[in-house]
Amino acid sequence: MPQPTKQPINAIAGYLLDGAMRTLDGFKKGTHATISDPPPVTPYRVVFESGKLRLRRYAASGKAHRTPLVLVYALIKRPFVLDIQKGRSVVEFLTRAGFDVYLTDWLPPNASDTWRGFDDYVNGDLDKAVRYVRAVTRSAQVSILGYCFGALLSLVYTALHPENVRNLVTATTPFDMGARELPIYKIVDAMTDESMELVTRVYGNCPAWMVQSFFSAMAPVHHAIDKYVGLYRNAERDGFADQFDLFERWMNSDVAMAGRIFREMSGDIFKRNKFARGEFEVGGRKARPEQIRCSLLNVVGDYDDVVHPSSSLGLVDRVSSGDRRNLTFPTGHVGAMVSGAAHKQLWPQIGAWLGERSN
Amino acid sequence: MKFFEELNKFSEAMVELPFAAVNGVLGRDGERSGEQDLQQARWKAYDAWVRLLNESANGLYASPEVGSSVGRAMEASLKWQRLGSAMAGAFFAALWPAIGLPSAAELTELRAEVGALRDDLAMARLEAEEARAAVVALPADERRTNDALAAMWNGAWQPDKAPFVRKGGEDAPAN
Repeated sequence: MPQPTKQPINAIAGYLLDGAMRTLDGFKKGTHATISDPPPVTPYRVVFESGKLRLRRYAASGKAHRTPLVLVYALIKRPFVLDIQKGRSVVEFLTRAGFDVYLTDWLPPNASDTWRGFDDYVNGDLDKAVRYVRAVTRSAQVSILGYCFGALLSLVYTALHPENVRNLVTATTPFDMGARELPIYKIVDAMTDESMELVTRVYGNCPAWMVQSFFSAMAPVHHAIDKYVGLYRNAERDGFADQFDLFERWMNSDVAMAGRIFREMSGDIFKRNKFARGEFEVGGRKARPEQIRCSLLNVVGDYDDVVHPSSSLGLVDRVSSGDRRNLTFPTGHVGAMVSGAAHKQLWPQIGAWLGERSN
Repeated sequence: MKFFEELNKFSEAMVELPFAAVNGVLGRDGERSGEQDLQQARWKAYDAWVRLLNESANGLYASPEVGSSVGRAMEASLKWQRLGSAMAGAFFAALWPAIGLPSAAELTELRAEVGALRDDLAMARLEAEEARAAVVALPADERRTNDALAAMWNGAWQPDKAPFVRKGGEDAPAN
């Protein structure tokens, strides 16, 4: 008697399971829980935890450079975009280039973390992570690579603790918020300080859905229609649907922002541009860009529509480093991390720059 | 203005579309496929439409009236939510203890305490790592002395192994 083929049954079961997982994710999102990360491309070990930081170590493949690299990620989405897919993973590239990578995985704040501001994240958690890396690797200094908001945290850290940082790479940095090139900024300008204060009075922290709404509002047509049409247009391209899925997962991985840092970010950094103006105070000390003396590579995406290039380019003119330069590349905000072109042309340049300065 | 540029491009694409459709119907073998032309014209019209929508959204954001209305609406909604959560908080604050459950404030306090303990633990671990790194960085003589002092402290004192104890027959070091 012929056996019924198992293949269609498996396919249907897989389809149903996939649908069930998506529904579960939808429910989780509705209850403000963070959607789980996909499996990592590069293996890692959690080596240190403090406050809202979990420090991951990705060991260098082969002989490692002497100076370890701390990869500072942003506070607003999950960090798996830096290790999203084989061949498109920043972490994978860096470990292959001989860097011992320590990645900051910021934990989402809860109701008891509303008081956490720049001081706690930078002088607290990030400083402890850098001290830990220096101690275990017996290195006097580390290299830091910051992405987006993480680059801003790295800049503030380097300004306050210049003795600990040998090289700094900032990628798509929101530095000069006086450059008001993006239309969404006009809406944010219309929000009063009282509104921002109200957000944290009502919710404690700035909820993840609010963070996500802000990003969706930056490109409403893309998020509502165009990305799905893009998926249809590119359906025949090998691996495109998988990439789209992973990318969507990341786009929906927003986490809440602790109340105090949200107020500092929206008021002091965004509206009053205090860091670029040298007036930003963290833990009772001024953090000025001029206090940065280490080698600096500032990576700017020509088509960045989240942090406009004009907000980043001026950074190199403001630091005191003798060795500093901008590296511009025709890519967007996320493209700088995940696009095939960036991995072929941009990351080898970043790796070479860091490698020359890490031994 | 960029909006009008995009509007022009969209109009051009819409004019091209019917011609491409006719070509598609009459397309003959051996020539460039009419179907392909039609598809290209469709996507061109779609792209022009998306760019036009984007420009319209940007125009809306740039308008001060839109900005201030969004700002006002958000503030009003937050004020109502605040009132709602204050009322809900007052109701549940009395309800939870009545049925023997901890209040949200108590849970927050507990989380903060657990968080503080975790921070203490992290600090202790960090200090231990730093101390270990400092010992490795010490010159060999100093490290031996440190080891002996640690041994004394831990009750494992062995005078013959201590580097600073004068052995029988040795001269005292000159000061």
